[in-house]
Amino acid sequence: MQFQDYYKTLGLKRNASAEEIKKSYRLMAKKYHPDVSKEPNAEEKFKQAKEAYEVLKDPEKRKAYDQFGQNWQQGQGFQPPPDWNFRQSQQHGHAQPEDFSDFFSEMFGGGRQRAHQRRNVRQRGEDQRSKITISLPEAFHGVTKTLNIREPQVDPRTGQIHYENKQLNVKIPAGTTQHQQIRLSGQGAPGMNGGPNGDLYLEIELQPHAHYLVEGRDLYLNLPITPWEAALGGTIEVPTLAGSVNLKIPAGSQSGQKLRLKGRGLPGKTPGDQYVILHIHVQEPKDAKQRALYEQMAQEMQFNPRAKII
Amino acid sequence: MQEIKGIIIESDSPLTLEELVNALQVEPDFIIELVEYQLIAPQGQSKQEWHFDSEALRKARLARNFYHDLEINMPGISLALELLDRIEKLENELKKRS
Repeated sequence: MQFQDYYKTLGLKRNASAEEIKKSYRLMAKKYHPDVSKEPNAEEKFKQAKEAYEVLKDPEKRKAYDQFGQNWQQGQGFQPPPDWNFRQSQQHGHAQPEDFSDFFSEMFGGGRQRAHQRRNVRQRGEDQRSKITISLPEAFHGVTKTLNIREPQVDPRTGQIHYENKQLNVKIPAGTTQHQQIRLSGQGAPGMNGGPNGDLYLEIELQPHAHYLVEGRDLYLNLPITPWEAALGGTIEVPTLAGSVNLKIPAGSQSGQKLRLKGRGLPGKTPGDQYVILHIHVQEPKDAKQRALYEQMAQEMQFNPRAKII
Repeated sequence: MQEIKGIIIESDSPLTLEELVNALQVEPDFIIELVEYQLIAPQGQSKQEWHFDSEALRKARLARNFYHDLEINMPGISLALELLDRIEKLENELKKRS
């Protein structure tokens, strides 16, 4: 595993005071908190800061960590000393195993589970969570995805915790929406001393689509049309997630006008709708004949769209 | 490999208070406070009857993250969640127009 330089992560000197550690963590948490930050790699940076803070804010952990001295570099190959025996019953808040580096997990991890293990109590495994990214067509049709998760395993003899990678094939039903929560019963952390497994919660993250915008179960599609289609009306072919349909455009349509295709959004108990937003595109005249056509319109249409504002 | 079917947490398959507490690894009092501040709105009258949907789970998770990671108090969390909602709606409106 790789050594983690927690002082470097938080931009601190090794003799930093508790106050400086807190201040530096707060600055980084504000900047990189994955629930609000738009910074690139925010999640990764936040996790690193949180892990560093978890160790450095706790005098016991910091003292243990400081034993390694200053000679270790960030990312350097590291093995825990054979006499390493850091055990602490303190809980790591709501943090999940995948939130922490191998270094942390091996050196300081699993406090909560070890503590329960020692007490020999029948204990339900913890619930875990993960995000799963799917495309809009996958949300529409449903999809089976392979999920990689890190699962804590307790050695029954020593009570030591280690992490194993687990693969799950998860069937996502049709009609999931952005941020929707999916529960996989019994797929969380294993129970202790005969306790039941925890559950795994997945949050759906919809990939942005090139053409559709999603709002709940409703879809929005910007549809380019010609000036004559807008003026004269007509039936045009419009894509939907279930295939193309013919849409009747009323005569005299304007840019920004919304037409509704009922029930063509994401499926569900109440299926969403697809809204088609019209955008009139004007072709540049390509030759003299086309130019003459526009000029004829200018002569004969007597159209002043600015009448109300001038 | 075995295929596992997920259950969407919706109004007909909601979470109880205990399940929400387990999912987020928080104390029940934290959830009760979220309900009192109207950050999440369960179905049901008494705590024993409370049921939480997908949106409640998501909001409660955000609230917990802000509370622990950023040390924000309930009124602050309430404001942050409301502003995040508004930003998401505005960003969507902008995309519709582009």
